[in-house]
Amino acid sequence: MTRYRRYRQRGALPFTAAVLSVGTALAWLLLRLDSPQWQRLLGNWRQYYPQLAYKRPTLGDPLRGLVQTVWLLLIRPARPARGADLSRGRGVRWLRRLGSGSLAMVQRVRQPLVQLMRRLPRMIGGSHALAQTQQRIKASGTTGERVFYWVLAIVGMFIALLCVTSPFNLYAQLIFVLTLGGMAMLMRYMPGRFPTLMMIILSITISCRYLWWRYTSTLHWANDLDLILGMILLLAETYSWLVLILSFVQSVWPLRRPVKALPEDRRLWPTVDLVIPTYNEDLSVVRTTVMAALGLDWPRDKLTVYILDDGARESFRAFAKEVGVGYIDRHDNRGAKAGNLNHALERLTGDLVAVFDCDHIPVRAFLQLTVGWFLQDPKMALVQTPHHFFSADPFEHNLGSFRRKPNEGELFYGLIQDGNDLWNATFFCGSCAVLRRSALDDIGGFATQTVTEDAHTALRLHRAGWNSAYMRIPLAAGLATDSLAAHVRQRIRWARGMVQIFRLDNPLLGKGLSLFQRLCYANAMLHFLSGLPRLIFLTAPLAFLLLHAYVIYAPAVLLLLYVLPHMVHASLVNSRVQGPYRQTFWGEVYESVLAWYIMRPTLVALFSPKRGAFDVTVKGGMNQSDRLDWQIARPYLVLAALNLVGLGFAVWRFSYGPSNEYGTVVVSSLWVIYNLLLIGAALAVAAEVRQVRKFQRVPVKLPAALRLPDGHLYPGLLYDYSDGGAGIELDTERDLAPATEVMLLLERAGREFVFPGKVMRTVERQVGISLAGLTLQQRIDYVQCTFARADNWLGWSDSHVPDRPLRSFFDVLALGAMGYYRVIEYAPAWVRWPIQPIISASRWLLSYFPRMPRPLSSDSMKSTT
Amino acid sequence: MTVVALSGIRGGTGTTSVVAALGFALHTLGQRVLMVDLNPRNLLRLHFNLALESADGWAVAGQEDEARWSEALLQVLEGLHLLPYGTLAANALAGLELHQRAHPDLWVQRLQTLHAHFDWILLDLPATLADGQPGVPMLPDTVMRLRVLEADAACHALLSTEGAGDDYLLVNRFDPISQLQRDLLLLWGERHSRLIPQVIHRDEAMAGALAWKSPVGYYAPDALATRDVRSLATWLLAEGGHDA
Repeated sequence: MTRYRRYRQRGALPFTAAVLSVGTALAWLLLRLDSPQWQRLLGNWRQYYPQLAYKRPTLGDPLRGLVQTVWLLLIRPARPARGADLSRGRGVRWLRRLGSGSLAMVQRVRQPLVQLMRRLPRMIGGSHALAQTQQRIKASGTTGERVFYWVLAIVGMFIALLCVTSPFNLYAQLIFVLTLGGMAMLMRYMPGRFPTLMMIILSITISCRYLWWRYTSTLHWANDLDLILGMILLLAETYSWLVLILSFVQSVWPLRRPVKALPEDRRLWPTVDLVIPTYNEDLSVVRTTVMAALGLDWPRDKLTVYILDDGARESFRAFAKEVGVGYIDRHDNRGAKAGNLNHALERLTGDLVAVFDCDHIPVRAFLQLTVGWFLQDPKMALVQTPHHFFSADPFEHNLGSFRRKPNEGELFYGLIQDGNDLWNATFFCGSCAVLRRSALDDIGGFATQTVTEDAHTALRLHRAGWNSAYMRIPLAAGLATDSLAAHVRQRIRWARGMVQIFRLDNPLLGKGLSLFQRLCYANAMLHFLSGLPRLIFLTAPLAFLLLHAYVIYAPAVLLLLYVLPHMVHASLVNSRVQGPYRQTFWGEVYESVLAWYIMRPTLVALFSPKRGAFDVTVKGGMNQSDRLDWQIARPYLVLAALNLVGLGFAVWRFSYGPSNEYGTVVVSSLWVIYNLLLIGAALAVAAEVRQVRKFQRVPVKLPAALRLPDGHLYPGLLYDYSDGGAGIELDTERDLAPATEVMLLLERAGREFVFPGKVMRTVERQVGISLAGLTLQQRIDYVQCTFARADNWLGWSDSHVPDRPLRSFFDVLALGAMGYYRVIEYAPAWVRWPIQPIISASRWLLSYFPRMPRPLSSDSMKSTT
Repeated sequence: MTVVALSGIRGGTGTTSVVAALGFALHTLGQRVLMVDLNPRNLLRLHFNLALESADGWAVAGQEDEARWSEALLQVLEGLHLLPYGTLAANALAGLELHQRAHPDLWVQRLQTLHAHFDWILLDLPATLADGQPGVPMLPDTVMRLRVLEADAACHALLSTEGAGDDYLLVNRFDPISQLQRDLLLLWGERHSRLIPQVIHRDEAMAGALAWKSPVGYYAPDALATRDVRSLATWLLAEGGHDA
């Protein structure tokens, strides 16, 4: 009876529980279960039968147990040697041993080479001959030096030209790419910037050679359709090539600008107007930002905070009065955000203008760390800091990669802006930046012609000869867009704006910019034109499979010999340069998601730049239910269907087509599969995961304490906080009833603050507290104790997993597969019902499969319960 | 060995409880500690579960035979020792005072003899009376002096009029709910370089500890006051280390 109850407790149905308990009783009768051997097994059954460990007991379980037992007894060795690989069968183990043997041999050759490569830069740097040569060159005077380097450059260019243009046959090409590939593989291990430059040069050489080959020998001039489709693909590839080269230029040498200290004498510090433009955002969003702004470490008489309300709302005016900040509204809304800022500029008098979007909360050290450069350089017009987000963007929360992988913006704010800074081409990003007032007046205020006023303003500052700086320290944080639709809308606006600037105020033309500033701006703008080329790549192999058009008129093997090295080299360089900021191949995913949506607006903007209205990004709020954003996913479903048809055609062509096309069919199919998985990844992003909390909670680790109504105080660790509440983990478990009135003690810069709150829930040592009833001053203090801490966002990227290109590649592929799974899961019933039984049946069958025994960890318990 | 003399800047700042708590905290950090009660009121012993009637102490033991003063030493735990004052009648107290005045370096010598046995000696001194005044023995110059105060106007006034010299200042019973206390702490932080960066919070556990006749670290190991005292002990280890 107790047995029956125990089965019931674990969730078994009455009948099942009855059958199982009778079965167990029989087993006790027939088997000597009280023997020590049996007892040992029974004591650890969860370890030996992991598939049954935490599942609801069902009638199939005895069979599952039997299968597992047979497997354990017959196939898996009972007591394997330590360190032996338990996870595979005998045959696989034998293969692995063979593999690892040869791998060990390879390692034996590779290890010393890698070691040598790691040491090489230092050896070269310390070499006597090199120093002598350098001295000799220096000794020959500036002219001699110049001649030497020019000769070197010309010889180098000549060799590069030769490498790019000389036609090779199959074997020559094979040897060529293997040599270069080997060099790049070895250089990967050399630390320092010089090897990076070398790898970039190798990559450029290979890519140029590929493009040259494509132009000279892969177009099928005899057939019109082949030629037209081929040219389209080739143009798209040329675009990618251009963007690749420009991105190398942009990110080759990130500046990593240090902080410039402020003078001791505070009278020299400039006056600052901090403006917070808002249009239709909620007061609760703006309030936190204003309160943090009030706590900036800056002389009180030199800092004025203004709310620039384009919505002219009474509640905002009242709030501004209450906390004592300036309030400026206007009624015409012309020029959107830029117009709003310009309108306010007329009323401001400070030396500097700090701009914060209403949902970017500054930390207290913001001005102290940025203003120094304005005092150092009288021509400095702009200091930009990164946009940091403490909530997950749609990619992160739909893919579950929040804080584990660099997010989409990290490449731009971590690397590209730093690279731009080297060429004095830092872009203004509309928020989290300080600008010099006189510089703004010089160019006639913020630029209003385009929908991306920020980049355009920076461009005009640079044209007028002003300087810019980028501080790669997150000094403000905000909410990321919370749904894919909103994210896409925001990107559409950026894309449209950048293309508008490209047409109206082309950075390649006009005066005032240096060559590299032009290239940086051009790349930023070209980058947003990626929609059409990406769509072309996603459909290109279909041209052959569906229409039998030879878009690349070359033998399949030769194509592979050209295109693979091009891709491998580019990935190697990107992994090295961008690795910490964007994992290899994830850019493809981001691009694929946006491709369809930014294609049309960018093309429209390209041909008629004056059209299109300003669109404010919607932020905050919850997704109603766990669902797939079908609206967003539709174009990708169409693309997926097309590619699936292409795959069907591939099978048909392989079965019935001429044998000399086999190679082409195989290569095309591989390409189609890759595309399908990319599209799948885009679909995976479209499957929205529900966001439960209205207030985004920020994970932290801060010392804190709790004061109970009886006067007892208990220390703990604040583990998360939000606008309206906080979570504290006490050192010991404490039984606190919900709605207990408590005080939260927090510390800021050696001072302590107390916030009255209510216990919401207690789970073991963790206590959730709601802080709804704070007074205004308390609220300001609270924001400054939490959001505005100077070191808040510094260690944010510590939990990122390091980039490994191949691993990342498979991650992306797996993501693609998951995308399709999710589509089926969320599909309407009429789609799901023919497929669902297949999935359920295969799942059910798989559940009978034997599993590897594993030591029980708390982790595995979490995943199964 | 480091000798720390704790006294309140005024009466009733909770010095005795701090001595007991600090002694216990230093002991948990693996130090050999002796707590000496130099306050004739003889309350420190109550933190270590001695009976209210127990009258033994160094003053009583030393009365008959000067050399036997240290026989009143009690071991609370392995490595944690206590020397109570003892209960003296009024006339005996006057006699002790005369004796101390005749031999001003009495405690200097006594500390000398204890030197080898302890890492820390904590002295619980009565408040109000400054060094050298009647009832308070002269102490060697190497003693680290720690004044216990509360963040209130009385202590602020005393700090402003009398000052605290080179003594360290320790804020006890700090209650961040009080705007006055927060402001005073901020002010003192700017004015007094010897303000110890660790306060002890006003915590009900501190009051409960004496009622329970134990140091706070023993009575309520998870209380904030306990953690404060532990931090203070750690701070002393760092500070006393380079002072000695």
